[in-house]
Amino acid sequence: MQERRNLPQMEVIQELLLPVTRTTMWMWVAFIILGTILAAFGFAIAWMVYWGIGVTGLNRPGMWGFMIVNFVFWIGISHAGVMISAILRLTQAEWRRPVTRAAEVMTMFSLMTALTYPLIHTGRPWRTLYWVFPYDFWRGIFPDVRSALVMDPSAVITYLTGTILFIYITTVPDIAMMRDRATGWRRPLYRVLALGWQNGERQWVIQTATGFLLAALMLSIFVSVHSIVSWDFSFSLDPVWHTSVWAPYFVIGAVHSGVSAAVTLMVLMRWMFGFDKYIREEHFDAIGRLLVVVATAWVFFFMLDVFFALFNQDPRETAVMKMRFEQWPYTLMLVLIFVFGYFIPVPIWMFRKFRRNIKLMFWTSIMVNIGMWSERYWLVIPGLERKYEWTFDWNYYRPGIVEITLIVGSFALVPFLFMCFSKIFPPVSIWEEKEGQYFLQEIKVGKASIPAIVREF
Amino acid sequence: MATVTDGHHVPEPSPMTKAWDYTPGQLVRDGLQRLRAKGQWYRISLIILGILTVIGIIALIVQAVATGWGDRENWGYVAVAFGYIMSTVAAAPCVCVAARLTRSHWRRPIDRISEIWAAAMIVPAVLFLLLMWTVPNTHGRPTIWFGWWAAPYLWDAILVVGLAFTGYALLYISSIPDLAIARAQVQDGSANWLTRKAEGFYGTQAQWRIIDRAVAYLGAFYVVMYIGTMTVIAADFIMSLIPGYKSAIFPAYFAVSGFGGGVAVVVVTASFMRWWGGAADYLGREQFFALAKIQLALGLLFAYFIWTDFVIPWYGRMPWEILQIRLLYFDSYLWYFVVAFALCFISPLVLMMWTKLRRGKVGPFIVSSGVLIGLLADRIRLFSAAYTPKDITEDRLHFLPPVYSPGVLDWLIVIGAIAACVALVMLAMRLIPVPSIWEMTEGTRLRVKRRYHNTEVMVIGKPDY
Repeated sequence: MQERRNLPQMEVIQELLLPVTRTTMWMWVAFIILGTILAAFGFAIAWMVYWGIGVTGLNRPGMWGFMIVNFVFWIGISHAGVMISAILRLTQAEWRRPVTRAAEVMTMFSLMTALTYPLIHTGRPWRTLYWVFPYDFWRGIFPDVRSALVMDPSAVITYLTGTILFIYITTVPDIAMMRDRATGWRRPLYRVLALGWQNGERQWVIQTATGFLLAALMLSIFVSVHSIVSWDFSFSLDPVWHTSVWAPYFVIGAVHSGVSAAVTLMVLMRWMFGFDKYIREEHFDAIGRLLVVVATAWVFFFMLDVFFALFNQDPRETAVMKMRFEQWPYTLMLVLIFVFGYFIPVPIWMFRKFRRNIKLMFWTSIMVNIGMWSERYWLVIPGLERKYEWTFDWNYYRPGIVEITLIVGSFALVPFLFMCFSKIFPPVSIWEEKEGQYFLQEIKVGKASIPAIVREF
Repeated sequence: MATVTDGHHVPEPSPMTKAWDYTPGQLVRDGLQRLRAKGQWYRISLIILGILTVIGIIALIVQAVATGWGDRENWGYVAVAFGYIMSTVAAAPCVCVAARLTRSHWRRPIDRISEIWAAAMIVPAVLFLLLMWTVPNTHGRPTIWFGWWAAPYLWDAILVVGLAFTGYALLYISSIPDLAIARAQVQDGSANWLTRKAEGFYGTQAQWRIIDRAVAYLGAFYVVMYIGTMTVIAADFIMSLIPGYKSAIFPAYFAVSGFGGGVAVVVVTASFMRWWGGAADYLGREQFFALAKIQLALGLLFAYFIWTDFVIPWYGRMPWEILQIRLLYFDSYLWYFVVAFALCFISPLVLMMWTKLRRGKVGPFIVSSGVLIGLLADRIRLFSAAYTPKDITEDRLHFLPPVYSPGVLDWLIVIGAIAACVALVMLAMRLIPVPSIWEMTEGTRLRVKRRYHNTEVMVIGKPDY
């Protein structure tokens, strides 16, 4: 049965603008908690920059630790935006409407957060500038354009630029609406950002076409970004890293964690902003079904990675796989990956009743991301610890308190930035929601009323 | 009728699928009419296909008698036939499964066209049983079985034969309502044997619920099983036969390119059904448009997976990796790769990215025909490369194996196997209505036209939204 109610347009506008117009008590509480964590985060960065990278647990040969794991993780989360906005927009999935804006914004802030980590990981972030500029093409040795480490920032920055453009284009009608209602400092801000939007038919045609075009273009970037991130590792000859499956495996894993993060965000928006009428059980139902497919595809790629690492029975690869399976903390992580990433959530999502249980969806989505963070660690770290053949070159990576603070900080940074965004722009697309009200219909078949949708064909 | 999509108007996409305006009675009459009336061309085609099949079988017997199973190289093209059929015929039913899971409305006339290809699953199963003798046991060579009992024979056989059985079960169960209709409508005792199998079906609510769930679960199981089967075929019949070839993406590539082949089979069959099969009113632009989009997406995936398979050894630059990409992409099978890449990726990309071509019926047909040819070239590339190295127990390639040049017998086997599949599908169309009567009837009830401001739009019911 359809849960949607036809709401007056004014009510839709007022309710969806609530986070912009009012700051509820929960929002204050969240701001304070997240702000405190971010203060610690800022202090940890300052500490590391002042004392140098030695305050972390990084040591030869494991020079990529928590920070790079976290970089990969947040790049993964950023895939929610395109998955939900672009793919679902192109396939005209109606249930996307209340989620698109939040997912896109999460993409933007996740990418910004992810980019922070390689930068601070250098130890002297300001030096990055003169390592890169002017770009040294003529010597052909460093930085090498064929290196994934060069492709990577290019791809991520392209993705970020595309995402910002995408969010902006799809927010213009809402900005124009706020421009017509705002007072004070907001009014000139919205006036500039609204680009003279007057709700004209031609403007709508251009806006829609641009949205579709950007969505299609973003798809290729979406795939390339995490593929290139995976090539940071697999272009090397390190055992278990040098594998061809990592590109699609990283992408599908990213979609799994990103869409799960979108579920977490949807629940939080319901609880904090009171968007119950807009983010409904039917949306969790649909996203749960999508997640079953995505998670199963992810497990398939996981199995391919494991099986074909052992396929040739290469002693070095086998040794690293053995370490991954049998040694602490990788054993625990393997359990977390499987149990939290698949075996608990997926059977739950198989049942419609559970998919419509908001609390259950919230906790399963959190579980998935615990599993996915562990997976990133499980993939990245062990290969590096056994990079060289001789045992005296082996080492174990143990993260320091600074790194742990940096990781916890990232989980505060993204929601904090999202809440700041919500104070200026509506986190649910108002025009899409209003459009959706027209598109949703009902038809009678015999005695039954069946939810229906206006379709192109 | 103008149509409206997410906020934008598009021109009238006529002609639409006319059968949406049929009454249930018309759909039944039309479906049964098509079942009974098979023209002269049908018979001629069937005879030609039968002859090709028989020639193929004779070629296979001659091959077996003349060369035995000892020299694997001689069986390369039997493996090509097997791999090609697994990548096209066996993948075709996956199209209707995916469309059903996403509750697409356009799928209804396509569903039966897609799943009827399961009728030909006996062909790859038989070819597999012959090919099993060409694959050595797992001792002393790379394998994904890690010492499993009777590996790889038993487990591969379970998967391939299990897939065939699942395909037949899917086809039969989804056809039961139509067979029951045929049983009820045929009064003169001319009902075929399959129709009589639907005796117990009277369309009660409980029976419909069972059919719905069985089709959904069996379909999902078929897709999972297909991916699993393609994975082990890729590992046991290709990767483990090329010394040192280790590419974890390869099984996924093998399966995804197979999905592309499945969509191509459905598009080509739908085109033939439209032009010569009397189903023009069922197969409108919406079906070809939707399938063309999937074809485009799968073409992109084809390129992506090929690229990831290629770029890792290319960056690795170890001597055996260089030999591996020279074998599969450059020196040995370069032109097969070029043809496959052009027809499975470039052609879908260049042609199907244009909405106008996607909306047409000829564009998707041309692209899909190209995909089928490209996929054949690709399977020749892969299986020939896998069946030529002599010593597969070596840990890596030390030199490029010679390129295998097929003889007449090889081609006759491939053509015969394909002809057998087409013949079986044509025979199945004598027994089972294509397109599905019950799914079309359901579709007409979930589709209404409504006024929307100054225009009229199509409203489509989504039960259990």
